Parts: sequence; structure tokens; C-alpha cells
Amino acid sequence: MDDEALLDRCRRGDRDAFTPLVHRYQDELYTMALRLTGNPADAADVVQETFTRAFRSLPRLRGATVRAWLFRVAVNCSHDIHRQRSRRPADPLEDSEGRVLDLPDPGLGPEATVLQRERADAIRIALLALPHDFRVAVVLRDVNQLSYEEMAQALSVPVGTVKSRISRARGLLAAALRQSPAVFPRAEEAW
Amino acid sequence: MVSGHVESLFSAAYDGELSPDARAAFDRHLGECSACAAAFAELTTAVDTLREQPRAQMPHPVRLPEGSPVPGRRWFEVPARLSQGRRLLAGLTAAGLVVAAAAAAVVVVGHLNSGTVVPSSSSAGMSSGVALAPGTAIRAPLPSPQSASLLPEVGLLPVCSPKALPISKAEALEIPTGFPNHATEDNGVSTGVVATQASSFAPGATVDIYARLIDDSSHAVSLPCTVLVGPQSSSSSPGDDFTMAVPTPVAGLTVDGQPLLQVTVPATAVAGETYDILVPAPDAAVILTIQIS
Repeated sequence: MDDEALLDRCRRGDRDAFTPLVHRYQDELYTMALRLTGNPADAADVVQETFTRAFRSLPRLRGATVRAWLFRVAVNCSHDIHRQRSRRPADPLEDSEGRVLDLPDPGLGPEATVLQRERADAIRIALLALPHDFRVAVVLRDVNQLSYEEMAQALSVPVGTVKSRISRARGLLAAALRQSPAVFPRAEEAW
Repeated sequence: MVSGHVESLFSAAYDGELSPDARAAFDRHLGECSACAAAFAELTTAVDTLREQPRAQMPHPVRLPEGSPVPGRRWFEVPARLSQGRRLLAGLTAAGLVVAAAAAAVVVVGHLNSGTVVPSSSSAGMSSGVALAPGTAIRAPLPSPQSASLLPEVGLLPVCSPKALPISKAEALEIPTGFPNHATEDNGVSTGVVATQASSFAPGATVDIYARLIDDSSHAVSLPCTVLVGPQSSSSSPGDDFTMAVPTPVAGLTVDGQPLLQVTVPATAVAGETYDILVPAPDAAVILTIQIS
């Protein structure tokens, strides 16, 4: 059943129609929130808060697709939670209870696993260094792979603004990763 | 031919958004300009690395609130802001909603759909039964034309366009003293506040209602275009009347000296009965519940 059909059932007060939407989007939203906040506990809170708000408001949704609207709510929640909470040690590979989330590929050797971990750290640090609007733009585009049009809906900005933010954000991301030997091995050799 | 450096095209090139001719020129330039070639390779590697990061999994189940996503309400919808001096009568019929101007200026027809009446997205969507007198101040459309696919067709006319205000979100949400009944809703996309100075709601009494909507991302503040008014229970009989008019401005919840609307409680309302006044935001709504005294 597609999103619009589930939304229609939600509008009729069908509680059970909401669960498939949660299952469909929770990991996508969690990954987005993890990249935006850099903190697994905050990211889980973002997803919980997003669906709590959505449960109340989705039946009255208008003006966007369900997917774009969920991302819009989650982006706002991420911004609020990230802003409200003091910085705390963040590890994108563990949740608040220490469970490993981004499991390395077991087929990789120890060296490759270390490299994967170093790349994840480099990405996390580089993303957190980006200004908020640019971080959101590059995450929605290159992590969640939203279309320009979906991003315009989710961010309430014109498509042209979406494109310019993505372009600027990718340039900043590349600059931030330039010195990372895990991402650019040749930089290490040259050093 | 591409002259100079082409950094501004990197992102579009990565996404495959360049036209064939532009892409060919872009590639020719990279073949001739080692600086651009190296910079584009660097951007490609960086973005590829981000894209290759594994998707994470929500570590614990999402807990949903208890109950139904939609309480058992029936709504009918009335324009919120009226031109000075206009008055509307709103009445429920068994078949749906009829809002009629007292001076025969406007008739708006909608229907109850899945417990909620939602407006059409444009004047072109008006159903039969809608008639505008010459010179009427009532205008369409709603602010979200892209929502048409999600909305059933209902012939309903909003009477204003949202208006950005040069005030902060905190200022917009401030409830002035003397408003014992108010409600605020923040759903992460937009925040709404609706308030009234009235403390009792007797049948036939006229109540001033004020409201504001704030877009959480842009912090743009606006007045809602429409409000919904309806009994919480289904015990109200068809034919309940609401009289709508522009009330006296009250500082703090007005825009340019304009308040929201006046609601005259139906004379047929019964003490103890509860009514909801719902102000729809672009993605949500804020509800003020009043109890008939």
C-alpha cells in the first residue's frame, strides 16, 4: 500500500495504518538524523519525536508528500535537539546503550575495517563542521538521496536554492575531507 | 566551449544534470585543465564516500501515542478573515456543509469527508453551489497549490492569504494577559496559537477568536486562511448556526490591527456540549476546545 493510501486510512482514524509508515521510514530518518546530529541517542530521539508529531498531525497533512513532510519534521527536530543539548561525546557506531549500529562488513579484513571506521569518523567530523543549511542539503541529497523536488518540499525553499545549497555543501565537504588519509590515501603518501 | 574554471558546474555534473552539450564542453574542459580535473575528482571522491556510508538502523522501536490519530470529530470549515462588515452564517446540513453570506453575497458548499473537511487548493476546484457576488472581498486560493493531489475536492473559499509578519516567533506565540482560553500546537513544521478572551460560552454569545501560525523553518508568521468549527460529539443536530464577523482588534494577537474572527455560539447549543475551533496550518492544525456554559 502506498503512502497516500496509508495517509487516507490515517485520516479516517485507522491507527494500524500508521505502523507501516513507521517501518517504512524509521531507518531512513534515523540515518539522516545520525548524520545531522552526529549522536546516536539524539538521532533516536529525533525519530521518536518525528513520529510522535506525525501521529498527531499526519491526518491533517497538506501541501507535501508524506515522505518529504516526514523529512521536514525530522530536520526541524534534529535542529532543535542538536541546538538544545550540550555537546557530548559522540560515536556514530554506538547507540546510547553502547550497541554497535554501523557494523563493519564482516567480509573485510582488519585493515579494511579500520579504514572503514576512519572514513566514518572523517565523514562525521566533516558533516558537523558544515553550516546547518548546507549539512542538511548534502545529507538529504547524498545520504537519503531525495530528489531536488522532494528537498524543495521538505525544506520549503525553491528548487534553485536546493541546487545551490547542495553545490556549496559538496564543495565544503570535499574541502573538509581533503586532509583525511582515510578518504584520500594519496594525501597521506604525499605527506 | 567552457572558458575559465568550472567549479560551479561540479555538483550538477555529479548529479548528471548537465545537458549533453554542456556535459561534453565540461568534459573537454577537464581534459585541458588539470586544476579543474583534480578538483572534480576530489569532489566526486568525497561525495561517493558519503554515499557509501551504510544505512543505520533505528536502535529501538518507535512508541506511538495511544488512541486514534484522528479523534472522533466532525468538522465544518468557515473562512477566517472577513472583509469589514461582512457576516457569514454557517450551517451544517445532513449532506454536508453550507456557509452562506447573510446578504446573499457568498455561498460555499463543501462536504464532510472521513471526519474532516479540507479545503480545495484553488478557486478552480470550487464545486457547484459556489457563487460570488460582484465585488466580494473573498479571495482564493490556499497557500499550498501542490497539495491538490492529497485533498478531496471541496468547494470552499478561504478569504485571505497568509501574511509574513516582521515579528519573532516568540513574539508571535506570546499570549497576552486576559486570554484564559488558548491553545498552542508545535508539530515541528509549524506552530499555531489560537486564543480567546472569553471565559464562558453561552448559547447565542459572540466570541472573539485570535490565531497565528508560524513556520518553524522560516519563522514567517501569518494569519490562517480558514478555521474549522465543529462539535466534538455527533449529538448536535444539523442546522447549528455560527455567525462570523470581524471583531474589535486586540493588541498582541492581531496583524496590522486586524483580528481573526468572531464566532457566535449557536443558539441551539446545549450547556455542557463541547465544540472545537480548529485553525489549520499548512501541515497541521491547532485546536481550541470550548465548552458551552
